[in-house]
Amino acid sequence: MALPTETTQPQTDLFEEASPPAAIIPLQEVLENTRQLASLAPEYLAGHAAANQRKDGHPTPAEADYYGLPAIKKPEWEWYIPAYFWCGGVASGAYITAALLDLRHRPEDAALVRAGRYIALTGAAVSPVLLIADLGRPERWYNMLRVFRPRSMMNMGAWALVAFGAFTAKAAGLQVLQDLAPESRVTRWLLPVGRVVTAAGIAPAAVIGTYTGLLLAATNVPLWAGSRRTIGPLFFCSAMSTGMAAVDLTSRMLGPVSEAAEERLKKAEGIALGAELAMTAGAAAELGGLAKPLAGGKWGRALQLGSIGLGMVAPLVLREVGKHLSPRPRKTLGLLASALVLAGGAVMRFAITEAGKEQCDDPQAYFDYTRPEA
Amino acid sequence: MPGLGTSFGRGGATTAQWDLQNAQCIVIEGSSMAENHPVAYRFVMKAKERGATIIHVDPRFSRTSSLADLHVPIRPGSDIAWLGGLINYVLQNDLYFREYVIPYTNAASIVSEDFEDTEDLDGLFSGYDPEERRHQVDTWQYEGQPVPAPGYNPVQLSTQEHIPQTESLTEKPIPRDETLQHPRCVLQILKRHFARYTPEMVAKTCGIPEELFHQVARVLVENSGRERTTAWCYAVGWTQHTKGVQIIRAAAILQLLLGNIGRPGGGILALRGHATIQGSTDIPTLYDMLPTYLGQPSAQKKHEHLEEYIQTEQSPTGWWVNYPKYIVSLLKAWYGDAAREENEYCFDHLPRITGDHSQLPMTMAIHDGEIQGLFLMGQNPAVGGQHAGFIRKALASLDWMVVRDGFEHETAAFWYASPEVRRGEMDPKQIKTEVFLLPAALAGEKDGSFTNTHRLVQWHDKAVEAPGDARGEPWFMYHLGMRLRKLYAQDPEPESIRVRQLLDLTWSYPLEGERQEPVVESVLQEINGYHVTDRKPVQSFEDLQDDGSTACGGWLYCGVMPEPGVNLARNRLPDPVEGPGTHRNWGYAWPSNRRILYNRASADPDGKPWSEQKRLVWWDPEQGVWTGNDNPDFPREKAPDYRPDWSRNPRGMDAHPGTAPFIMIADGLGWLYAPSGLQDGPLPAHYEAVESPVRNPLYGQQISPTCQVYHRPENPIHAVDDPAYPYVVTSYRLTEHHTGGTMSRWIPWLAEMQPEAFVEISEELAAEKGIENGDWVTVYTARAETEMRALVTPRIQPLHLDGRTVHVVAMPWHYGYIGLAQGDVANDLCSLVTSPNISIHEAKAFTCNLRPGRRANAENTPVGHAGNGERNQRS
Amino acid sequence: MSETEGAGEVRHGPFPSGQTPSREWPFYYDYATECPPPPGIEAEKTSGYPVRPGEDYGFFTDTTLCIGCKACEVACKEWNQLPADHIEWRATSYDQTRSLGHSTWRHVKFIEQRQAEGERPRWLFQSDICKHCAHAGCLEACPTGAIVRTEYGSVLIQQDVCNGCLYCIPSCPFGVITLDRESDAKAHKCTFCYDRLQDGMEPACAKSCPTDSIQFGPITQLRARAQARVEALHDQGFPEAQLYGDPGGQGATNGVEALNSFFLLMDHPNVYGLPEAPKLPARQVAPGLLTSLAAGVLLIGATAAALLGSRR
Ligand SMILES: Nc1nc2c(c(=O)[nH]1)N[C@H]1C(S)=C(S)[C@@H](COP(=O)(O)OP(=O)(O)OC[C@H]3O[C@@H](n4cnc5c(=O)[nH]c(N)nc54)[C@H](O)[C@@H]3O)O[C@H]1N2
Ligand SMILES: Nc1nc2c(c(=O)[nH]1)N[C@H]1C(S)=C(S)[C@@H](COP(=O)(O)OP(=O)(O)OC[C@H]3O[C@@H](n4cnc5c(=O)[nH]c(N)nc54)[C@H](O)[C@@H]3O)O[C@H]1N2
Ligand code: SF4
Ligand code: SF4
Ligand code: SF4
Ligand code: SF4
Ligand code: SF4
Ligand SMILES: [Mo]
Repeated sequence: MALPTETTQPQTDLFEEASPPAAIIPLQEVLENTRQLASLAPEYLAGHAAANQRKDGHPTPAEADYYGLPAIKKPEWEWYIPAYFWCGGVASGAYITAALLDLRHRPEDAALVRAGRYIALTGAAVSPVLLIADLGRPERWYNMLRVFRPRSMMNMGAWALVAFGAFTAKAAGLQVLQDLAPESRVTRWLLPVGRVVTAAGIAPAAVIGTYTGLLLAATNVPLWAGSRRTIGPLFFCSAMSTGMAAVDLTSRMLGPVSEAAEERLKKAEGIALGAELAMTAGAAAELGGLAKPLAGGKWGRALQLGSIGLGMVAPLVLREVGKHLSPRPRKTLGLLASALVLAGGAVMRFAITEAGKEQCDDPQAYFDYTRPEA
Repeated sequence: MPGLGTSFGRGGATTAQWDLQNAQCIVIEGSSMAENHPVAYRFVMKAKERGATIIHVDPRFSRTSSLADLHVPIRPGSDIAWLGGLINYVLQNDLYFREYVIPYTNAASIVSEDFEDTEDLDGLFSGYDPEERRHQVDTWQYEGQPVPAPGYNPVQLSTQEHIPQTESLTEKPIPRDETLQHPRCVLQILKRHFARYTPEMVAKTCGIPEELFHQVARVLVENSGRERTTAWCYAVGWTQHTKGVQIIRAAAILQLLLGNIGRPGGGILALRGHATIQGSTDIPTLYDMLPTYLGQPSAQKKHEHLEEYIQTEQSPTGWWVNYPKYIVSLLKAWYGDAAREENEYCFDHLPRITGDHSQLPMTMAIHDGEIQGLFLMGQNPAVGGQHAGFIRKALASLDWMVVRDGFEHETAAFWYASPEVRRGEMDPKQIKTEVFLLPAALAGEKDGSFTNTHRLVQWHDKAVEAPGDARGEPWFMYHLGMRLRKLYAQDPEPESIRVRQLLDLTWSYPLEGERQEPVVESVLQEINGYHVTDRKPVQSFEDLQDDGSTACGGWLYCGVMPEPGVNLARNRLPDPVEGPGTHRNWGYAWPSNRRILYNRASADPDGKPWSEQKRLVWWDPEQGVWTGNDNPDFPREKAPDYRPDWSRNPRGMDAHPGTAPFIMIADGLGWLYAPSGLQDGPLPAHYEAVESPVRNPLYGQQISPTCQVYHRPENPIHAVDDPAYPYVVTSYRLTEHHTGGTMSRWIPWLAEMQPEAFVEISEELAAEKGIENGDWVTVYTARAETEMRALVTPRIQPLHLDGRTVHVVAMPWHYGYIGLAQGDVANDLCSLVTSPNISIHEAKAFTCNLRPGRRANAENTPVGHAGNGERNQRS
Repeated sequence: MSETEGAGEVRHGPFPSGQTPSREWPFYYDYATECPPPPGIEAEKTSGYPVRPGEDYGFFTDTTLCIGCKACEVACKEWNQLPADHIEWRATSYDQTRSLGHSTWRHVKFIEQRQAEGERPRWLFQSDICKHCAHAGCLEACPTGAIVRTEYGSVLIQQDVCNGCLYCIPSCPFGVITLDRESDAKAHKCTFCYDRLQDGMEPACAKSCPTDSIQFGPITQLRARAQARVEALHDQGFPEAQLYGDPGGQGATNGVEALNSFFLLMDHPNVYGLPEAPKLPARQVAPGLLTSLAAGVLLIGATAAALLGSRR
């Protein structure tokens, strides 16, 4: 087809058949001879148009999280719960102390047994009040006993509290009988049976002293779940030490306590404190990096100074010092030691609970806790 | 609309959302489809799952980009340079779909010698009149043959006597050179016009790296042709520029060259805005249009009498030869028996427009006191309008304003709650405007229809009664009309035009219910049209007559109610999974339930489908009729080999051969080159936005020569490359909010999800300005200051233009000073500037500056989030 | 004034002259029978699966189809009338919800990632929800038995039983539950639209998702579909596509077994704020029991010895 010059007349018929176009250059050839610069083009030709996605499966970013926002939610328990942990522990320790002493029912231990039983009763009475106060809907407290669910530590705790309550009530009742009508036939008839039942109560008491640790362990909070093997025993040791300290303090108030009984109680308290220290060290070992909130910070200092320092080490030191002093100063030192143990126990419960709650806001802690095992 | 209207003949989207899943490549540009048309984006995702490549061309990396295979960051306002580059790539390498382009477009048509291109006149086309800022189209016509443009209010020949000249269309064919070698054939003109739009120029102008340009170009080319098609989706990212129409024209040219128009999985999907914005363009809320694209008579045109009006608007060839039937039927519908042949069917009752009465000119007329009263129904310009501060001040000079809305929004409360009042610039005691706030029934509380983005009319029934005094628009308009008619009935001169205009109207719709609401379905029946004698509905617009025997409120909607009481817009029957997949029993798509327009082009010149995969409509030789999965956009019995017999002066469709898919255009061909119709040129040329940080790299002409810049004291315009305003700013939408915010910022659930105004800036700009992520920043222009929170993000990248770095700033514009989620009005920053052809504003590309810290008098304005929304208490 | 009579009498609905509606075009809509669909089968129409008690259902959320439109988040709040109680902007991309909780049972996350030089940024979305774990930490921990496994395989908090003891909160490995202190002081979380399922309706969030990023259906079907999707993505050159919550896979380790609401992620779970290998809390108790028993016996023994040390 000659190139039409300017003067050529326009063709008359509007459309002939569309004239076959000049040889169509195959696309591949066109793309080559236009010296394409497209460095990205190869990907496209390889059937994968997206040059935008990462190619080599992105390695785990070290500090990956979602804007630093919490990965789990904190249980906003108020002070009632750590207070319950402490109060339940004291009641449990006191009950066990009383029950053990009652095995030999030596008259010199009567004051201690009486103190232990009354402490156990008050503890067992105050505990449910604290728990119900913390409930969102307190009027539905009885739903705690609606099911029997072994896998729920709180449900098991509720049932244990019922059992423990029963035993403390029985023990306290027995104590009242002994105090008021030591000679009556009923008391004499009930005593041996009571003593056996009280001994049986040691088991639920031990559960009350321990389960609160396991309740915390059965969560996703790294500080609690990370110390699952040691937090239970730690709470129980603390229960025993605070229990005995409470017995020591209250028995003196209720009347004279024999030297021998005092000596044996102090010895037992020493053992409990030693065990508690060991358990604390165990927990620290088990937690490793997850114990960061208790390594420093407000609750970390509270635990180290208040609980470990004043609550465990100081009483042991005071006990040693007391040994070399005359009875009067030793007695006051003993009282001080017991007070410190009691206070230290409370500080430990608050520190572990509050530090655990704060740790929920740290996603990195949770992601470390949920790394797949190597 | 004129962009698509001038290129293909109709202003609507050429394809449908669900058809996108048949595409092998989808380009989304000038739209953030995933954010603003999420339900339609479903089909883009379906296409992607079938292996399609999704490309998003947008200054911001938005939610749409995150799902796209390729994101192309582009400088706001430089789309024509980019699209021109693609056109140039296709033309220089002969990669256009030749067997489609030659028979179906005017590539081979020869243009007259008088035409001079922007290459010759450094950015102007021949026929430019600097005072009028308009072009005369006379020099752009085909050689020896002027041709009228389709669509409403097109720019026609200046001599007004173009009727006799265009009459020659019926005498001889338009000169063509099928070999496409003729120096003045359209294809060669295109080649010369876009020759300088090289990949390097695109990189220099748009900031798009050359590799990315080449990759997109190859993807487009490889996904066009017989077996594969590419679809384009756009919205206001393209339209809201002073050259918006030409951006759409560029895309239309590219799609015609690649042969993607009228084919399944191809086309251009204009993503419409509000729920039934397409409906409110068909049955228009526009000042310059009568229903279904008939021009509003104008005092500036030869529209004195009906005959003159028809002469000016009608086209001797193509479908618009039926113009008289449609205007006469409309007048019969409006004026009933009063419209008789003797009084030109009451043609003189139609008001004449005297100039540009669009949004911005109207606002300036209000500000200058030319307009005393305003009906504001379904708009919140105090937030959505441009230079919103100017609008709020303008409203103060009204005598009265009737606001019908579901909520008291910023516009209704301008007189006591606006920032101007808070800053003491306006004193409520001085504002004389009386505001009538009437509660409006919203969509679910009234019958009605939505016409969505692909011309689909879907009926909805009232779900619940509107509370209290809230009434719908039909009720308000009907009863207002009745009261005015009573008032005008006592007028001393009953025969004056003022009175006849109102009383001759057929204003008697059946009423229902104790609220006496007009039966809206009867309005749809009237729009569908009926035979005047027996009031039987008209089956199709082909039955309309120009002798007054038929009445029709909107010819395009003919067929929606083909029989009394039957409303096809109620149909809700989708096609089964196995096909045919055009869902013709779901709602009713105008014209005549056609789903994909220009589908004649889905068959080759001989009427056979281009390929098995892309079959849609084809010629059935035995029955001698066009058939297929969609309603053919072509005379049913016209064979592909039909050729007009010029000796018999063929008119209308007879003048089109059997291979002309674009029946609404005079020559039946896709207009790569538009000889008439548009004010700014037959071809798109890149011009900078009115406010731009760079000089126009292509031409001496900096901005569109035909746009309107309103030089007023309240409307200062930034100079080019103004150091005081160095950053390009664009505005966009959030999925969580809706336009002016009334329908989302009042809702607690939505306010909670995007509670405050913010601005997105790049990390580099933030570092330069010492701004931290989340800080307060003040974004300011010569017109206003606004404070917003800064969202520093890698999704906004600085652009490197020819060695120079230009920063882009992007901000949502939904926020206002009322509602649960509040913030400064972003539109205070915009300028009063309108585009040629349709007077659209330029909200997508202008310049600004920003500084850290809050606005000057920030203390007396409420802190961003209201926070005092009432909480719906849990039971 | 010409009072012309209205444009023909208009009847709603039924098609003319008693014709039976032919399904061919032009099909005339038979209003009465067509909508709304009879109850009980709506889920089949919207999700493709009927809802039958006794079968385990779940969500497969394919984040590569998620467009971050938050339709799911709003649909959940609207259907369940949850309060919008936290209206505050913070510079965490487009996520102003920031976490699941008592008043937010669907939360869409937005993760902006810078990439190597030259490559464009990446924006990941994920619509997070209660995982309805096969072995649910919350269910096992709840002391009142308020949390139960429903007949559709989902985990539900019975609001008439919960007494707000907070123990389910630290027991959920994904931080889903919180207590609504301001109104009813009870624990709340996604109910898997238990009320909708009972009426044979698809959950509100899944139905509202425009791109089917959230896919509702029987668990077995979803697992198969997810596996196929991951392999397809790997073929398309997205090696980082990974499932989260597939049986035994990441997110379903150490006793959690499997997540009925599981995900296809495009990066390491920690990037989405999800634990890589969560642990079922109840499994922490066993090791503790042993040591507690031992410590208990030893300490009680030692104490007894100390207390009862016979002087005589
Ligand atoms: N959720 C939601 N959806 C909506 C609306 C809403 O308010 N909210 N509004 C509805 C309405 S009224 C409309 S009109 C549509 C509008 O729909 P869209 O057009 O999608 O709305 P925008 O977000 O304003 O603009 C789209 C994109 O254009 C980009 N852009 C800006 N300047 C340029 C440019 O010069 N070139 C290019 N290529 N892109 C540019 C912006 O970055 C933005 O991402 O949305 C409708 N849908
Ligand atoms: N900077 C910038 N500005 C823009 C844009 C942009 O992209 N950038 N987009 C522009 C575009 S595309 C648009 S569409 C406009 C949108 O801006 P507008 O048209 O102002 O839209 P809205 O602000 O949503 O106002 C609609 C009002 O109608 C009310 N309404 C809802 N239903 C009904 C009803 O049935 N009857 C009545 N009487 N009222 C009802 C709503 O309550 C609301 O107050 O904004 C424009 N402005
Ligand atoms: S809001 Fe309405 S119009 Fe917009 S995507 Fe959703 S359904 Fe469609
Ligand atoms: S994700 Fe948490 S709340 Fe949901 S079922 Fe699992 S443990 Fe329970
Ligand atoms: S807060 Fe309610 S649901 Fe949670 S563990 Fe306690 S009783 Fe169960
Ligand atoms: S299943 Fe229902 S309750 Fe759960 S997130 Fe979805 S919509 Fe909310
Ligand atoms: S509705 Fe679907 S697409 Fe939208 S945010 Fe939710 S999951 Fe993503
Ligand atoms: Mo719009």
